[in-house]
Amino acid sequence: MPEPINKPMRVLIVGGGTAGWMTAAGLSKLLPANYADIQLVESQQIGTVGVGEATVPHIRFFNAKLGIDENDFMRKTKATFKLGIEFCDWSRLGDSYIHPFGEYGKDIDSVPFHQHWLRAQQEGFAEKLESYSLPIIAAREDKFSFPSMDISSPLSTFSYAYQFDAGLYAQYLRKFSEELGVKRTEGKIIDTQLNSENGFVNSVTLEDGSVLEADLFIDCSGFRGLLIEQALKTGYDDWTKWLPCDRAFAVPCETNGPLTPYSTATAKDAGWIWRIPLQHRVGNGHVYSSAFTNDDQALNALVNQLESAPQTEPKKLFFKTGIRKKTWSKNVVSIGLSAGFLEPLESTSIMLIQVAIGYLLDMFPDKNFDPVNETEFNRVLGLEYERVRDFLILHYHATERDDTEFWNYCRNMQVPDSLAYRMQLFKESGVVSHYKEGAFLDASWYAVFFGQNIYPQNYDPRADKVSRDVLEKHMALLSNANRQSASNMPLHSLTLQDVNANKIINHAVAGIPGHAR
Amino acid sequence: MHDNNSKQHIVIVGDGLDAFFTAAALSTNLSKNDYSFSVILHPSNTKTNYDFCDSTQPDPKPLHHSVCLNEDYLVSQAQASFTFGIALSGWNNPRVAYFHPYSSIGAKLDTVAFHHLAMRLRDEGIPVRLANFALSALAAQANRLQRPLPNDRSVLSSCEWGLHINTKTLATLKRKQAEGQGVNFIQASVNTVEIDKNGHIDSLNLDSSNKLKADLFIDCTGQEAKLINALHDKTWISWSEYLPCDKKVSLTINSATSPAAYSFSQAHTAGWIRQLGIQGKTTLSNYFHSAHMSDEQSVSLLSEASNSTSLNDTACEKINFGRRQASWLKNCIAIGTSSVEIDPIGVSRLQLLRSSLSKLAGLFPRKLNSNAVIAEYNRRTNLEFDNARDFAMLHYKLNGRTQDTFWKECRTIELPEVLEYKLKLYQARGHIALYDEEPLQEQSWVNLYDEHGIKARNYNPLVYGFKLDTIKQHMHRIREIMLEGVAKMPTHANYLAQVKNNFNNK
Ligand SMILES: Cc1cc2nc3c(=O)[nH]c(=O)nc-3n(C[C@H](O)[C@H](O)[C@H](O)COP(=O)(O)OP(=O)(O)OC[C@H]3O[C@@H](n4cnc5c(N)ncnc54)[C@H](O)[C@@H]3O)c2cc1C
Repeated sequence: MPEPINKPMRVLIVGGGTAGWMTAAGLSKLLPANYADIQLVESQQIGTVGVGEATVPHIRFFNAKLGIDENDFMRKTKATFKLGIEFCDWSRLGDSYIHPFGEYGKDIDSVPFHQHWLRAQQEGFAEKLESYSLPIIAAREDKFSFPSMDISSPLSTFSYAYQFDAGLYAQYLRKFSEELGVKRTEGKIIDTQLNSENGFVNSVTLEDGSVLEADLFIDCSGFRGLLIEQALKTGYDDWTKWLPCDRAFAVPCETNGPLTPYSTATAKDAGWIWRIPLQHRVGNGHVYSSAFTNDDQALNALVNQLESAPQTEPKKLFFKTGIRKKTWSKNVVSIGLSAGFLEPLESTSIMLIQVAIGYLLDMFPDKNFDPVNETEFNRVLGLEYERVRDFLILHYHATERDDTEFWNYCRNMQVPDSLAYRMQLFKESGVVSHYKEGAFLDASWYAVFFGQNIYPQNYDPRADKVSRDVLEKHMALLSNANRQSASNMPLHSLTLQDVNANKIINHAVAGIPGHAR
Repeated sequence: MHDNNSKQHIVIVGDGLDAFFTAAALSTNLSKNDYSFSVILHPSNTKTNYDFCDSTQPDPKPLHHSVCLNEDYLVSQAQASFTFGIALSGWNNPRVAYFHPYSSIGAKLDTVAFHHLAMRLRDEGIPVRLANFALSALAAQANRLQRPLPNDRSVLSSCEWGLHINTKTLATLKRKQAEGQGVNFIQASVNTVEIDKNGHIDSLNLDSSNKLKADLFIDCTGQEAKLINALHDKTWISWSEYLPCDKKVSLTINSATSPAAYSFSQAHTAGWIRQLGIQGKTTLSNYFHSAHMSDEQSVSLLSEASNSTSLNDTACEKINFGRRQASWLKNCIAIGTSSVEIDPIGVSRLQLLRSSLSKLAGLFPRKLNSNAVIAEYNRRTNLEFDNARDFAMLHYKLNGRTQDTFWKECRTIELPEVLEYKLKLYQARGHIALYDEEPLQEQSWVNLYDEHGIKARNYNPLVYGFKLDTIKQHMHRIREIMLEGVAKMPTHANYLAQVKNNFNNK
């Protein structure tokens, strides 16, 4: 039987960025009361990366598990609602599509909707795919209302996430964690002591000479990977050859455009620019590849297209896409940027933090550190990272752009076998391969495949079993119902006013049809 | 689509359930305007007892509609009955029995899986039997039955079930359905298979001296694997080192009593007997290892178990458990026994057939020569077959019979890597790792380990977040609701009558 009930596990979280405080909040809330003694150490002098504003719907489950009140959370983090991401200029200059948090129409006779749509297209009675997705129509009209649990309603076909100030979120979770007994220490770690026998981390030393010991260390120290890399030398799998962007500039500005319930990712000559509207400002950034452009050009490209003057000096960031060879090694579990980095194109970093916390809770060790916990954690988390990686690569690779060297490189690069296979299968049949792990479900893959002009050679032959009349009526009804529902929705800004006035009655976390598990 | 190409012709070779179910499913899915189908009733060269009952298991999700069974119809018109699981006896210990329920066991408390809660109580000296918290086990025990109502959100909706059905009857029905959907049935046998220069099947030479060409050939010839073997003769992966039984003998007898809502799997000194009833009939099959039991012994054991003396046509058959390396090769797909043969202790043959057809229906490409589609079909089916095999083989590996040489040998079986890992994870902390394409869910694995005496050294520490009383109350409440629910269910016999009545009045 698990023994450490008499003597709590001592857990030290190293780092107080989004990863550190999400971990502190998750563990302090979900670990048994006397099971662990949780401390967190962070250094104001070093600071956090201070970017990361967009999320995917998973975060609602995380907040719900913590018991966080949505209105309160949104007010304090200046959050807006997010129905998806708009991608501009990715496949061709002038293109725009939205990857929505939701599904297109439902299966008909076990045949997925998009297959019927492909047929309808061939036979000349299809509208744009967007017309069959309520969250896209709503997003294009800057509308937002909450999804419904009633599966007969079009409002049950989507989910949502937030765009928020991650710094404020970390503060929010800090307060939350401290109230649950997490002890925070301010100070810079300057040394790490390893156990000479088994190489485990025994303790860390702070600048003021104090020593912090623990049984389990959670490395949330950001890119530097203070424990997992600097102390344990775990190694890193570099994925830059598939995702060549390695730098970014980030800068906020005042809102001077629409308060969109979605983020925008616009492809540029050697990277892409994000626009993320929050309640009090707009977050902007340019993610680019230093191999294909230089910093000055990248900065200019960003600043020149801002909708208002920059509120701060643009912040410059360096990163290397990839994953630690082991995200859990010995008694160190790395979570957040210390574990690996996937660029923010699909806003997956916070989600991957959350997924890692979930797996850590599943495999939570005791003081014996059975290696099987580490093996299983690394196996499943590795799959999650790889599948998000493949999804991101698809955005770059599925392009017809040949206007810059960067896009030529992306178009021609050899992608991982796992992605090549997925693309081939989709082209042959319109089918998306099923896996148990992997955050993005079929509908997300459809959105990006179609959005980037990857079409199956032909539609599913089984779709022909539905008579043309029936299908035509069905599809017309669906797009009409979507338009009607969208037109009945309030503007995003109005829903936000209600949230801020605490007028929204806290609703349950609805299911997430067609999107994240 | 109808005009640009001429029709694709699909030939299905075989005379039995595999062929007829395939023909029915494909002709449901594909339009007559674009496809034509023929079934060549190539006789089976193995002695298969067609009058044989098998079971389905809870539908894997999502199951393609064309392989769903119309339960009410089958119960009313084809003597089918419902099943809630499998009663196993003598596996862990000659005198001990347990139930493999198809429904989930208990319910989570917050994020903590039920079996971790049970382990915690056991540490306090409180005995817990997992199946006592599975609705299907409780109902089966009470011989009561009812499928949940569509809108039920209570614990009663956790009920999961399958069907017991006579495969001969089902085959006849599927043939009729296929005929009604335009499938052409041809009485002929395949003499030789001609291969073209690309290694595809070019045509079949029939005994009627006809030559038959087609775009796609589906091999449902069972063990003979007449077509796919012609493409490549070394593609059968034998599982004999994992699944020790190598012979079987079956018998179907009439029975007057109402069938049990579960099947029985009774281990004996050199194998096991499967017993499974439908309305009016029972099939018994003895799976055994020929080195440890003679054919005569095997047949007499079967007659003892069946209380029957009419064993005239019972002959023992060799079985060779295993699967194809790839069930879809070029323009030939092996489906059913030609593709996989499994020891049915965990997952039934009929279940794997339905699941393969469901996968095929979900993937069927317009251009038959689609490499990624073929790879995906093989990936999914192979994973499922191997997961089913792994589950089956644990029954042997983890047996607790100390007297019999057969069973002692079974304990020395070396597990495949993935299974070894799954077992290790469970032993370490009661954790169940499920991979892609698992035919059985967490509860089946937990229950199997638990009933075979595998103790986890540790469990999820989050259990300590709850007071003992909270756990006890949680478990008590689940059981109360389930027992109450079961008490309100009709007996199996009455329920069958009710289903028939409703059906006939429609
Ligand atoms: C350009 C860019 C855009 C992004 N956009 C998004 C987005 O839209 N959505 C999203 O989900 N994610 C996004 N991310 C990722 C997101 O920023 C991070 O995942 C998130 O901030 C978590 O960072 P972290 O907590 O792991 O690391 P950090 O924020 O770097 O925190 C590290 C912590 O460790 C502490 N520390 C480090 N060294 C020491 C030491 N020696 N002693 C003591 N303390 C120490 C620091 O003080 C700090 O508290 C983006 C990232 C980049 C680079």
